[in-house]
Amino acid sequence: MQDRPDQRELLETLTAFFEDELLPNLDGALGYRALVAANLVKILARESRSGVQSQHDAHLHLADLLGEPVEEQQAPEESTSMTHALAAELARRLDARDESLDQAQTWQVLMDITRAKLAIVRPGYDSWDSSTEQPQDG
Amino acid sequence: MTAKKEMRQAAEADVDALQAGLTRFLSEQWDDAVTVQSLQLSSAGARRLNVLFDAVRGDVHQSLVLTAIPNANIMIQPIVDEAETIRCAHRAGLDVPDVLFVSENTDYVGGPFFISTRMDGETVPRKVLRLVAAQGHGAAIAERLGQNFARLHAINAAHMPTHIQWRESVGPAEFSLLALEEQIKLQLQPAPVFNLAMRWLEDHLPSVGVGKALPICLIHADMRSGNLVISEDGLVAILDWEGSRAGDPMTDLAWPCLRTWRFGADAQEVGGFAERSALIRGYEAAGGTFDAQRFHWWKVCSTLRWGLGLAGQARTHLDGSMPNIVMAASGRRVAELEYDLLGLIKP
Repeated sequence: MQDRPDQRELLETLTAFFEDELLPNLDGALGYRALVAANLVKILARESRSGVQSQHDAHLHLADLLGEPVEEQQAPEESTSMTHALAAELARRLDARDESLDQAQTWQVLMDITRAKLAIVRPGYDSWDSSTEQPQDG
Repeated sequence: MTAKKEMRQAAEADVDALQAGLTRFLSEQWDDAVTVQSLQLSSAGARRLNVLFDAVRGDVHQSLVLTAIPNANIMIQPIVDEAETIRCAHRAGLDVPDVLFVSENTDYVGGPFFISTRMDGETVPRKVLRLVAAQGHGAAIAERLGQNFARLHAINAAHMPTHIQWRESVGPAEFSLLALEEQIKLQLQPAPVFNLAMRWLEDHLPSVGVGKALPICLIHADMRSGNLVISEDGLVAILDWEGSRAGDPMTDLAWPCLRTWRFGADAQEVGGFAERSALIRGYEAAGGTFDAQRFHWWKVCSTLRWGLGLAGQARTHLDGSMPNIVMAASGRRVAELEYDLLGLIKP
């Protein structure tokens, strides 16, 4: 329990400080690094809003793909380490060319997880469909 | 004193030292009184320094560029080799500067360097894109780029710089996979998209008929927006040859077509300024042989390599070897490359 401003309000305050006060007064290499910093603050703001849900969704997708049980009511830290463990298991099975993995589902799960990451780090990046760049003749 | 003022003063001190060093070097080379003026730091990284300047001898004004490696320990290749490659490309008719002097003597500008003619134009990608939008010459630039690639790839072994040689026991594609596999092992967290992409690359390795070999030639390996000088008239020059090496020619065509270099203009596959067809048109008209499957393979491979590269940058921040906010931010850009990869290998 903390006093106001709360986490979200502080992050909004930081963003405004960067954009309205700091960035207009910086240029060159330092200005560029400040721009990068401002973007990181925006990422944190989005992550504070939807990061937990995004993590939980990734966990469910991976568990479903790998046929692993899902324990409800996990603490966020536990969910993170479980998701990493499942991702590591998927990586291992991909390396081992495990034929029991459904190819289409594997691709879709990884796409869903990647889109969820982009929603936090780079909203809108998934508006371009890179599969249109594949060779047309096979 | 503000940080900004401190940085400006440090840069001014460097510029004074560079001016003195260049004056001394050129006066010795030309055996004449030389005035070096109008120095302009065009880029200054830890690895590489580019300075625009004018050299005046009597009535003769020359616009030149200094390329120096301040710390020779982190050179990708000896600057003598890079300069030799640029000269080779120049002889083959590519749009590159004329290298006038090369020196490994660190007394003049604090590191090994070369001096070349200046080819004026814009290099900053977003400014290039604005210029291209105003001039409408994106397709012409891509065609010209294709023509440059064809001329580079046609240089035969007898005329290649002596340091350019394929020395590995496997071909460029297999060799790239081995390198990527090592990179994946260094990942700080599992990234199954990369594992999936690796399997795809193994399953789609470029091949030709039995008894035939895949082409290996001199490639630039980093020809993309940022390393191209563009003017109102079109492509002026191709810069930054430090990564040039032997490789599959399709590596060169695929690299500028990565989404990373489009800066939001995604439908224009070549650097955000032209469609792929323009690049191929220029390449084939100048004698190059385009292979769509190998091109795509190298595009996937390079996208994976760049994704792993960004993850590696985050690692150098986190392990303290290069703590830097830009390196840290790179870690959160990996998802972009994962998304691109998934599209490129979509079943």
